[in-house]
Amino acid sequence: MTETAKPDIQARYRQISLVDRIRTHPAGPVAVVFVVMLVLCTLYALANPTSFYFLTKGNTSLVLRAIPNFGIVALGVGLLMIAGEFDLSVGSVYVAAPFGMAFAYANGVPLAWAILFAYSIAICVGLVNAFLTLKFNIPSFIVTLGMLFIVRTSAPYLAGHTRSLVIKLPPDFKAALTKNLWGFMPAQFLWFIGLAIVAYLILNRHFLGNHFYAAGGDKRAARFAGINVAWTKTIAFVLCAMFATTSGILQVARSSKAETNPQLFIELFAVAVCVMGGLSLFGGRGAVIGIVLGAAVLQLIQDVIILARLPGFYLDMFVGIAIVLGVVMNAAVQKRY
Amino acid sequence: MISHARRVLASSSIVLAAFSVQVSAQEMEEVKVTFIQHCCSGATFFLPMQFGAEEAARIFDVDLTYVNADGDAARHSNLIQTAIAEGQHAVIPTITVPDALDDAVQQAVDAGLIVIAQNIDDPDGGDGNARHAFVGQDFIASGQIIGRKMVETHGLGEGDHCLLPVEFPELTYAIERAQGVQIALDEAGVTSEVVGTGTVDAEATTIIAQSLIANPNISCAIGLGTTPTTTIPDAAAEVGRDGLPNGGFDTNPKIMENILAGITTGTMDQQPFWQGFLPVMFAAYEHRYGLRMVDFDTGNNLIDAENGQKALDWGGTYR
Repeated sequence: MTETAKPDIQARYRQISLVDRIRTHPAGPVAVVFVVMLVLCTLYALANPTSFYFLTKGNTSLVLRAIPNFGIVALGVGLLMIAGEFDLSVGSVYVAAPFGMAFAYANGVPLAWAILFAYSIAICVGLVNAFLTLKFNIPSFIVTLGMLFIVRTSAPYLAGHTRSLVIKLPPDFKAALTKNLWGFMPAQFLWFIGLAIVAYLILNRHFLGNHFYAAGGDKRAARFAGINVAWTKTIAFVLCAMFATTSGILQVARSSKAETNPQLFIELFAVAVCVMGGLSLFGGRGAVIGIVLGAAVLQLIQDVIILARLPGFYLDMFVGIAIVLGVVMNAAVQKRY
Repeated sequence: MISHARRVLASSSIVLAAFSVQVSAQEMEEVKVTFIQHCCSGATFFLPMQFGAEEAARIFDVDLTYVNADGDAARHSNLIQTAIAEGQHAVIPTITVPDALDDAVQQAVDAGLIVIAQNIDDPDGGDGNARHAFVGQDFIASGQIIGRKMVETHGLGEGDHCLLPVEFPELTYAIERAQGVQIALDEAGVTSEVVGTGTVDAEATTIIAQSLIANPNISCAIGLGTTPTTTIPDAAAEVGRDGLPNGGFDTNPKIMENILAGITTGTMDQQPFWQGFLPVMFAAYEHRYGLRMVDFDTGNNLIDAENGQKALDWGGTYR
C-alpha cells in the first residue's frame, strides 16, 4: 500500500504551483517578507547611496554578525516549540552557562574543559526543565519561567559576587568564532548556518525529527504510534539549552566579557523569531528555514529603522509593531491553508 | 536639586552614625525594615546595594526584609502594603514610575512608617510623592558632570553630534540623565540623539554600531546606562570608529578596564552601596532617636583613569 501511494503523492505535489507551495509552506510568508524587504532596501540604497548605507560592507558585516545572536537561540527554541513545549529559561542559560565557562577558564581550567562545563550547565538545566514539566505535567511555560529566575539569580551568588569577567580567550579560538572572512562575512554567521543545517538534518533526515513533529502535533497519537514522548521532549529541552549556550559563547568571544547580568527579553525575542518564521505556538508545525529567515527579518527591520534615521527613542516600538504584523500575517496564512 | 546644606547635613549624620556604632546592643530597639529592590533579580548592579543594606542592618541591628518587585509597579505597591500589614517600622521603595506608588506610599506614611525612596525618585521629588527622603543619584546633576567632562576632555563644540544610547529611553533615569548631559552639551553647542539599546549586550553593540553607520557625523557617544557604556567601544571598533570619544554611567569590570586603558573617558558612579546602606541607617536612627532623614545624592562620583583602580578592586561588594 505504502509503495503504491508514495509515487502518487509525489506526482500530486509536483502539480501544485510554486505560489501555492510558498503559500502553504510554514516559512512561506516570512520568505516573501524577507525577499520584498531585501529588494526594497537594495533599491532605496542604490537611489540614496549617500544617506542610506544599507549596501556598505560595514553594514552587511554588522547585520550578518547580529543575526546569529537571536538566531541560534531561536533554533533551539524552535525545535522545542515543534515538540510542543516552551523554554523561557534560555535567556538565563545564554548568560549563565558561558559565564560558567569564563569563570572556570579564568580560574585555570583548560578551555576545552571550561566549554564542557558550560554545556554541562545547559544539559542540567534542560534535564531539570524536562523532568519538572513532564513528570508533574506542569506547563513548560511556568516551569521554565521559574527556572529563568533561578538560574539568573543563582549565577552571581555561586560565582562569589563576581559581577562580570573580562577574559582573554586564546586568539585561535576567538578567531574561529568571530573572525571576519573576506572582509564582510563574520564567522558567527557561518556557525549559525552550520547549526541551522544540523537542526535541519535532525528535523528532516533523522527519526528524531518525526518524533518532534508527532509529539508536538498530537501527543496521544504519537504515543499510540509507539513514540516515547517524554524522552523525545527531554532531548528537545536539552538541545534548546545547548543552542542557547552556543549563542552565549559566541557573544562572550565577540565581547571578551562574560556577565551574570540578565539579558532581558532574549527568550521572548527567540519565540518571536520562531513565530515570525511560521512555527506554530501549539507545536507540530514549522521549518528550520523559517527560523533562519525570521531571525534575518527581525534584524533587517532593526537595521532599516536605524539606517533610515527613524527616532531611536522609539526603536522597540517599531520592532514590536513589525513582530505583531509578522505574527498576524502568519496566523492569517495558517488559518487559510 | 539637592541643596548643599542637605548634603552637609547628610554627611554629618554619617559621621554621627559611625560614632554611634559603639552604643551597646542592649540600648538598641530592634527596627524592622522592608527594602524593595525594584527589578532585575540577579543584575550585578544591585549586588552592592543589597550588600550595603545587609551591612547596615548588621551594624545597626536592623531586622531587614530584602524583597524584589521584579519590575512590576503593582507588585511593588503590594509589597509596600505588605510591609504596612506586617507592622514594619520602615519601608524603602523605589519610585520607578511616577504616580504608580503614590497611594501605597501615602498609606505607609499615614500608618506611621518611615518611607525612604532609593535609586529612583519621583520626577517632582518630595512634592510628587509622600516619601520622607530619597537616597540616590541626582540624574540631571550627574549628567551635567559627565557631559562637561566629555566636552572639556575632547574639545567638543559647535558642529559636533553625540549619540546617547540607553537601555530604556522612556524610563525616568534615562530621561533625566539625557537632560543633564544635554544641558552640558548645549553650553558647548553640541547636538545629540537618543537611541534605545535594551539590555542584551550583543544587541546593544549592534544597535550602537548601526547608529554610527547611519550617521557618520556622530563625533562622541555617552552611554546613559551600564549596557551602552560597556558596549560603545566594541561597537565603534566593529565599524572602524576606534577612538570615538565615549563615556557614560555606572561601573563594571569592562567599563573600568576601558577607562584604565584610556579607551573610555569616564563614568558616573551612582554608588549603589550607599543606596542600600544609607536608607537602612537613616530608618534605624529616625526610629530610635528621631533624627531627621535627609535627601542624599550618591551619584556625583566621576570615575576616570586616575581613580578607577579601587572601583575595579571592590566590584560586587562596595563598588
